Amino acid sequence: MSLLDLKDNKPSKVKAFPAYIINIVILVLSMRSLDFLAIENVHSIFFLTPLFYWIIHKPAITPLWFIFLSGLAIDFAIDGLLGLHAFLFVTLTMILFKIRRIILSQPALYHYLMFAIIVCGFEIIRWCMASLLTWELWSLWPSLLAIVINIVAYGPILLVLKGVHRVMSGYGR
Amino acid sequence: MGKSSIGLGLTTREMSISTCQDRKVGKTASVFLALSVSLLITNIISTDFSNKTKHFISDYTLGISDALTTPVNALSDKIARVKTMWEIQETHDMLSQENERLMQWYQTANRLDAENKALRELLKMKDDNAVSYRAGQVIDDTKTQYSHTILVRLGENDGLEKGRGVLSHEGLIGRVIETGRETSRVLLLSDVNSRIPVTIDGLSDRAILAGTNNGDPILDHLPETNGVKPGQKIITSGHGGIFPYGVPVGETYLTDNNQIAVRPYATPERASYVQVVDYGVPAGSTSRSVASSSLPTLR
Repeated sequence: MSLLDLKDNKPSKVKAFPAYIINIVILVLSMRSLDFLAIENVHSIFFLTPLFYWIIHKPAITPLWFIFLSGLAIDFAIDGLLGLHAFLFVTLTMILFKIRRIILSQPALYHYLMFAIIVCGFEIIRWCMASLLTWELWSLWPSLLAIVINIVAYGPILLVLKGVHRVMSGYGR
Repeated sequence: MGKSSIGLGLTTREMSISTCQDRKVGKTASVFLALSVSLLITNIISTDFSNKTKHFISDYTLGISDALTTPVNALSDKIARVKTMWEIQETHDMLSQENERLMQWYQTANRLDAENKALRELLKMKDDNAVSYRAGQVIDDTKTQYSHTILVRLGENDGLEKGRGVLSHEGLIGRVIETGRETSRVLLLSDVNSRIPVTIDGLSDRAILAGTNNGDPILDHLPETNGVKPGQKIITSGHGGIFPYGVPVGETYLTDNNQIAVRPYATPERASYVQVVDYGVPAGSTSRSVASSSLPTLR
């Protein structure tokens, strides 16, 4: 995070409290998998939306240690490979930090497109790594459905995050 | 102004400070990256270590996970209840018929139990395979694409050991694979790592019930000339020393690609409490202790 963010943009802990709560709620939702009629055990990482949003708009809300622990929490909760989600989250954060200024200067549709690309990349890398590390060729359908769900859920989650952001910035008053 | 300005309205001084800070973040991120990579490598090299770490943490974060999962579970229960309301008449009719059938079975079982006891008495048989149960709450259900396990609030403190069979109120759901101080992880029948030696009730054919992580488990290593048909009852064969002979598992059916799959009697997602059973089976034993266990009371 840059000094500019630290000095000018870092909100007080009280103001940022709703954002922390929302992050934790979405993190908990990301620990559950969904069952559909045709495809079972679709594990959508909804936490990618707040991660993407806050790193672009307010990096102080999601410090690196929180992102790392969130990844570990998901690994623990789903009894997955310890460190897999932590690794992916931290890598994603590093990439987003590098390009956040470029994304920030673009229209909302571009944000959506970027998010879709990130979700696709994230799910495909997760699938590849899990397949490689466990030496088992997993079905791709749950991952593809997880991508679709995440892209569809981006809108509603974004509305909530924007609302929280407004309250946090004091525009809501 | 004395300051040169670049894109986004930032001065060159602010930009250089920002770049400096970004480098700092890069270093911190590298530390976390290295940490997660080393965790991943440890996980691959020593699964035992990572399982122990997971159990150590879950033992100490029981309260937190309870607090986090309670509202989610409550919401799932509410949704399930709404679904049940739609099917209530159908369920009622089905249960009435099942109850009638069960009552008939109960009478038969009582008669057979009495007969069994009398015959055992007559033969002076020693019953050394006493079944002991321990009930525990399911605190986490982790059914994902990559693993099918549940976490149960029973651990070494409750006398639990690895390999014990786990039943829900509907039937067999899996076995204990890891034990912590307060919690244990149960590998479900549907997990790709689950292998249970089974046999087809009434036939001598043996097979391995193998999980697939994708739907119901399938029957593996069946003899080429087997007499298995859809709708047959699958029971444990007693080999491997975890389950005794005769624990009901499920019913066979044919999949779209002509594989014989088993629809388990139990659905772990619906179980809030499970029973961890110690059949007292020594390794390699094929004793038939289930038949000798006393009958439960039917209300």
